[in-house]
Amino acid sequence: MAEDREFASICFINKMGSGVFIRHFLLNIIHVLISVCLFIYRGIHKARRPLCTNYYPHSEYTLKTDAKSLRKLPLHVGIVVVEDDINYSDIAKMTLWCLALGISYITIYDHAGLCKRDRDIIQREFEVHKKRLLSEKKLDNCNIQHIEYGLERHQTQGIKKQQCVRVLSGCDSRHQLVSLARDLSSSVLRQSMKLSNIEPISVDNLLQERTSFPDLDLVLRFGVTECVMGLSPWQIRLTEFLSHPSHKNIDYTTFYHLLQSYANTEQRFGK
Amino acid sequence: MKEMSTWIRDTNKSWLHRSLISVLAAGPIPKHVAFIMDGNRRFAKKNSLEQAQGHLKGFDKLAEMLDWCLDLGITEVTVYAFSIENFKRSKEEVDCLMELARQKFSRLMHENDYSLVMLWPDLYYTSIFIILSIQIGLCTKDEHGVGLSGEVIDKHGVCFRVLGNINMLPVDLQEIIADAVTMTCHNNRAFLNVCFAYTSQDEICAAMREVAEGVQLGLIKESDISERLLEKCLYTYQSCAPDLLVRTSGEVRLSDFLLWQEAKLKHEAELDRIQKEDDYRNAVESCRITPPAGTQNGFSVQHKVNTFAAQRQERIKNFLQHVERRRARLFQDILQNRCIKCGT
Repeated sequence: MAEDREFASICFINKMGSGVFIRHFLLNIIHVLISVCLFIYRGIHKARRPLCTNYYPHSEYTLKTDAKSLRKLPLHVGIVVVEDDINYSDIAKMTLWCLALGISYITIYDHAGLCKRDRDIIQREFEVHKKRLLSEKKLDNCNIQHIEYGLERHQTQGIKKQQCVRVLSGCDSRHQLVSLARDLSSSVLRQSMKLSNIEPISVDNLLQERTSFPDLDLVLRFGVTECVMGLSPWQIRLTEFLSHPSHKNIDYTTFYHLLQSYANTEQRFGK
Repeated sequence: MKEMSTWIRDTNKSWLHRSLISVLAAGPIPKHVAFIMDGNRRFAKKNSLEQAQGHLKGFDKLAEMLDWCLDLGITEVTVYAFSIENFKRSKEEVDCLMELARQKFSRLMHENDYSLVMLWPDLYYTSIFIILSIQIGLCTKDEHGVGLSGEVIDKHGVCFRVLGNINMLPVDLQEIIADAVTMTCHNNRAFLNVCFAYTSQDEICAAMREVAEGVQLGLIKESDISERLLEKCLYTYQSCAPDLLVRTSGEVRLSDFLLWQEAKLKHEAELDRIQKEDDYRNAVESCRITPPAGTQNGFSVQHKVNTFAAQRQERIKNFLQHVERRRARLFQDILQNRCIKCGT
């Protein structure tokens, strides 16, 4: 029986050897077919879009009602761009929508650190969109103009901010944990902490103290590559990852649909 | 002898399946694939089966997937079997899962024959992901699992590892795991990692404890702690980062699975640069504290940096040997304890 099978496998390998060209050809055909299908699918999607009610939310009020109609709202949203060129205006637009919907924490992330470098541009674009969206008198009440840079929180004038935005890049992700490991080691060495106290809960508390950002609830990932690209590993434990092919010219309807699909997910926390 | 649900199955595949695999294998194949086997209970509920039956079916599917992976030439597979959070489930269900693990892990030692085709091409996974899903759709029922017991998995070079905090498991299960792991630890043709009593945060904490202990014992200095060192202290220290992660059931979460490993992005060159910077900083620091003779010329500083780097490497080497010894001792202790128990 075993010999039979060995024989069969040898035959199989021989057959494979002779048909290398054919197999490569078939593989390419499959790839082409899949690409064509995807292209058609996206084409249909795009063509249908103008027919949908494609509106720019023109008042804060619309957004507030939309927020109420969602079953749950994430506390912390990550906007992750896995694309080569980034349109800062669209990023700023989405940030504004998030904040106006009442989401408290927002992380903007791209691996190469382009957003971090050009955060001033994002800030500027943000102001432009804000003027467009919010009414004159609301403009001053809205305390969403602050953008944090990097991981450390800057305490400004001792005022507890309601909503925070931060911009991260690839270098912030794992290094945060390395520096925490260093600090923990030194406190163990100084005997101010026991070795057995290094537990997920205590580490989690320490990290939250440092960054003052809770774990990510939802990541909106823009780009065709299915990859988290090194977004802070500790904070994506129970994060829902929702993808969209591109962030460019994203309209409010699409954005709202993404939030809706988050609202409809169910988490069991291991149970 | 007809036998369902062995770890690696030798199934009679349809010609369509076989030709699909051979076409796929002509392209690039990922080296390391991770699976989250989710939705067993939802599957059971949908098909009005018992929960335990759902888990068993899930395991069968997993065995089938492992078979496909071997056919495709994927040499390392990591499976998320049981999370620490899963201990929160009802007692009956946890017991049932433990029993399943007991059976399957001891079964592993009487595993049977299969053929392994090794391929090492470049990487380009999206197509494979799509086609894997096509396969899953195509071959839903495959009841021809034929197993010949007697021959061991060992013979075919599969190295079996269990990742996780195994101290949380019942003692007899620990023993079975220790047996299986020590028996197959010399194999290197293919690797099967099963995450049991695992969460990624727990893993990272364990690594932090490990380095903190190293610092406490004076084996390493705080400044020696780096991404690479922490990585060497993780449960997955022997594996490369997974190239592809597949989660069944349509959820889009990672659920605390291999978080650190998936965030791996930095190039080795960059890590080297960071290390060198650290060395340089330390050397300059020490020059400031105790200025050696002739510090003024650059050569002396460079020399100092080199000695620092060498010392650091030495420390890290010693520390890693220490960690390695401890890991080896973990399983030895479990097996020894059993011998003592049997003796009394």
